[in-house]
Formats: sequence, structure tokens, C-alpha cells
Amino acid sequence: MEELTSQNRRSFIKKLGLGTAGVVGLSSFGVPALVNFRKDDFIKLSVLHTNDMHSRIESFPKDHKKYPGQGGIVNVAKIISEIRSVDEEVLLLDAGDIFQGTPYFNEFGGELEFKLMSKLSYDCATMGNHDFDNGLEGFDKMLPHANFPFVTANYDFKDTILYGKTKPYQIIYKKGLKIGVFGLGVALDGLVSKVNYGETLYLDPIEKANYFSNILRNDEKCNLVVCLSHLGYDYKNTKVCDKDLATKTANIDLIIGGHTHTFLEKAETFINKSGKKVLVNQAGWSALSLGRVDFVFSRKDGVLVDTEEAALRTLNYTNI
Amino acid sequence: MKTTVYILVSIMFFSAVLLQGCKDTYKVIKSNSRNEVVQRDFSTQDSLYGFVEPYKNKLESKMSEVLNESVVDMEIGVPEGVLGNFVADLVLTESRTKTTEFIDFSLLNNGGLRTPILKGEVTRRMVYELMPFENELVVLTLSGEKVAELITHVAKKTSGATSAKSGVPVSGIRIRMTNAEVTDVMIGMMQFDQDKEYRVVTSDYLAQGGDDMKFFLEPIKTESLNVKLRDVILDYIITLNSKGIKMNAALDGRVNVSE
Repeated sequence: MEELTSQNRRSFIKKLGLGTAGVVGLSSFGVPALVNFRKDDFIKLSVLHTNDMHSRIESFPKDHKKYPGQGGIVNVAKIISEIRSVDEEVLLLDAGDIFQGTPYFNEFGGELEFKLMSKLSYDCATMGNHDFDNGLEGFDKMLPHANFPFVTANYDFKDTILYGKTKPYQIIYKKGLKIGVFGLGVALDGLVSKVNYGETLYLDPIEKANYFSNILRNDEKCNLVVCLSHLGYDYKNTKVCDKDLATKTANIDLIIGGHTHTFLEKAETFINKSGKKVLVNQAGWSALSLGRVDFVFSRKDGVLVDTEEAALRTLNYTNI
Repeated sequence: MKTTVYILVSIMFFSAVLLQGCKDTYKVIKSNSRNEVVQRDFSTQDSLYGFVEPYKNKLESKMSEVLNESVVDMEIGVPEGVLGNFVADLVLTESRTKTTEFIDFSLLNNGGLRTPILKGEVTRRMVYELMPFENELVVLTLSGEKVAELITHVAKKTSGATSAKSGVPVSGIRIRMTNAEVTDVMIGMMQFDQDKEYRVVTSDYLAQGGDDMKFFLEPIKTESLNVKLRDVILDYIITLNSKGIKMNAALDGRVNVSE
């Protein structure tokens, strides 16, 4: 860790853009300007995410035409552990379609997928349409292998064997942060055979998103509200998608998508219905990409920080 | 002067402490995003290797299991191919047992049959390589007009084709043409009748208009058989083997082009 001298302390303030009268006033006295900052005034959280892993335990074969030697849960695992060794606070999420796509699923029904995700310490996941491929019974049978919760706010499992086994949202605590994660699933009719989804009811995703994000933001007072969505990034027709979700809701900070196997280089920014910023990200499929969104939190209201995250990472707070 | 500074600093400090007391909530002040392409080698050195290995080995032995034996080389072809005939025939036969209403014929695409089945032992892996997709079978009820479009499509793909991939595997229907002109079509034992409705079994991929099969869009009725094409192939050849029957197929002129 770089020692924080009074010189770079001052440059840090500049980087932070703390050009407010109070701070400038203090600096002019030549005393440590960050006197009112403490070690835990900033928290950096790395949100890592996958979607549509489709039972791709290992990478595509080396002679694969499109993705030679790429993807795979055991391979993305290596990147995740590299990031965990550097970054203190990691939130690891999946946006559904964990099942189906390789003989591993046909043979073991999803057991290895769930066990690996548990070993990687996934915090939460939602259900995709292919997670119904062995019926509600098939999913239920695999649940004991998952040590992380499934969130689905717009599937009503009341009259099915999954009742009480998923929840609309999960609150996750990381360091001083309270993070609310809720899930949304795609319309099942036409995608999944009725035999497999049984009496599951599909509810309006936008309505549920507004309802639960409001609870998470205003009642639960979460510092970050994340939606795991298997609705799909965008469509040529009017089918509800993540872009609609972003603009027609309030109180969501980050939408982590799936279903359309969309490769984004980075999260896209949208403006929600109350004029606030909402990020939408998706990481392709088959663990070919690891989605990543880093957040820096401050508990100083109104403080605008415009700095390179590196400055925060190397900052030795104990000297402040 | 010094005293004034100390007092000022103290005021600032205590007001800061007070502020923290009542505004102690974290807010996002910055975000940064960059997704990462996953390309990493996985080897016996990796900590997860030992965890995955038992599953890998079990799968390996399952995939290496010999299910039957083929007495001929089966490959795709145009206007017909042995492999296409074999799969289209078994799809029609097996699908007819999975629904109460009669199915007239089957239609698939050579592009979906990914590797040949050569003469000799046939393992489960070979069937997965032949049909790596998770496509399911669906039965579509089509108007005679749409079936006429389907026949024109087959004729167009077949006549003057240079690639075996252009062939359209069918069963239960016989199409005769001179160059690109269709001269005779039999469905089952009957002449094709444009005023009749027909039931055709195909994959859900083609039913959604895949491989340019637009005549499948907006059918009169869609019935999902809820079974994967691959599983139908696997079940069929395993059943044949249990009866002591080896896999065999031949060309029979079901799609025939004369000059």
C-alpha cells in the first residue's frame, strides 16, 4: 500500500473534486484536509455476473469454429478468484439459464452446475426459461446442491412444488452495504412446454419491478438495488425487454440481463422514469464473458467524486 | 491566530462527526464497468479439477457407450442422402407414436445433421455430434397452399444444388421434378391435394422459420411433442439394438430430379 503523504493527500482531494468552500478553507490552513474522512467512508464493491451459462462446465473445444477454448464455468472461476484476491468486496450474481446445453446437464440434471456455483460463492441467481427444462421437479431436485438463493419476483409458484423455495428478493450485506437483489423471469408460454412449468403464473415484470424496487429502496433502505432479469436485452418486436425495464421503473441501479445472449463490452446507461441513472449489462452466454460493474460508495451526502478508482484502491485510509 | 485555527478546526471536526451521525448512509458516487472475455486454460493443476473430474469421467464413459452398429456409411446428400432418409424416417415413425392424430410426413434440414455416421459402431457421443442442438419436435398443421410452398422450397433447394447441405430430408412425401419443375407429389399413398390440410413433423427451429422455411410460419395449428430430436434418435437406435436390428438406410428416390 502506498503511504499517504500530506502532499498526495491534497492531490487526492483535488482528484476527488472536493472543491467545496469548507474543504478549500481547511486546506488553506495547511492542516490535513481529510480530517472528516474515515477509513470506512468509502467502499468499493465489484459486482461480477454471468448469465445463460447453459451447462458449459468446460470451455468450448479447442477446435470450435467460433469460440475455440473459450468460456466455461471452471474457466470463469479462475477470473473470479483472481478478482477476489485483489478486491475486498465482490458480489457474484447469475441471471438465469444455468441449465441445458451440454451433456453435463443431460446426464446430471444440473447438479454439477449448482455445486460449482456454490463453490464459487455465488450470492444470488434468478431462473431462466431453460431452468424449467426438467420440469419444476427437476429444478426442485437440484436445489439442495445450491447454497445460494433464487430470486423471482414475477413467477407465482403458489400452486406448485417450488412454493416457498424461491423468494422475490434477497438482501445481501457486504461490509457496510445493504444490497437488495430481486429477480425477473421471461414469459413462459411458448418458450417452455406447459408440462414443465405446470401451474406457475407469470406476472407483469414492470409492475413487479416497480413494486419490489420501491420496497428495497425506500422501506429496506438498500444502498444498491440490483435486478437480475431474464427478460432479454432488446427485441425487434414489442416484447418487454431490459431497455423497457430500465426506462419504465424507478429505484433500480443495475439491471443484470440474460436470455438474448447479448455480448456487451460494458454496462449501458439509461435514464429511469424518475430521471436517475440505471445501468444495464449482459455477458453473452456459456460463461464466454464475465460481466463486471464496480461501484464506489461514499457516505458523505452530496460529495461528488471524480477520480480514477485506482486512487481509491491504493489509498491508505488509516493515515487520514 | 493559532488559537483561532484550532477553534476553527475543532468546529469543523465536531460538525463533521455530527453530520456523520445523522447522514450515515452509503450512496453510489461512481461506477465503472468493463466485461471480460473468458479465455483461460483449465488443467489438472487447477483447484477445481479434482472436483469436476469424477463427473467428467462418468460422462466420458457414458458418451463412449456403444449403442448400435451401422451397416452403411450414412451421410447427407442432395437430392436425398442416406443420413437424411434415416433420420427423417425415424422421426416420422417415432412421432406418430407420440400423438393421437395422424402425421402425414416429416421434414428436416441437412444443416442440422452435423456429422456423418460411418459404418461400424455407433456411440452416444456420435449421436450428440450428429445432433448437438436441443431442438424439440413439433407437429404443424399446414394448409395445402403452405404445403405447395414447402414443395417449391424443396425443389428450389434441390435442383442444381452444388452442396450436399442443400438437400432437404423428408419422409412420407415423394417429390418428383424435371429440372426445377415439380411434376408429381405423393403424400403417403395419395396424390398431393392443395385443398387438403396436412400435418408435418419438424424441429422447433425450422418451425420458427429457421433455414428460410417461411412456409412453417403461421400454421393452422402447432402441437409440441415435448421431446428432443436427439433423444428420439437415441431411443430409436437403442430400441433397434435391443431387438438385434442394426442401423441401415438407403436412397429410394423420394426426392427425384430428372433432366
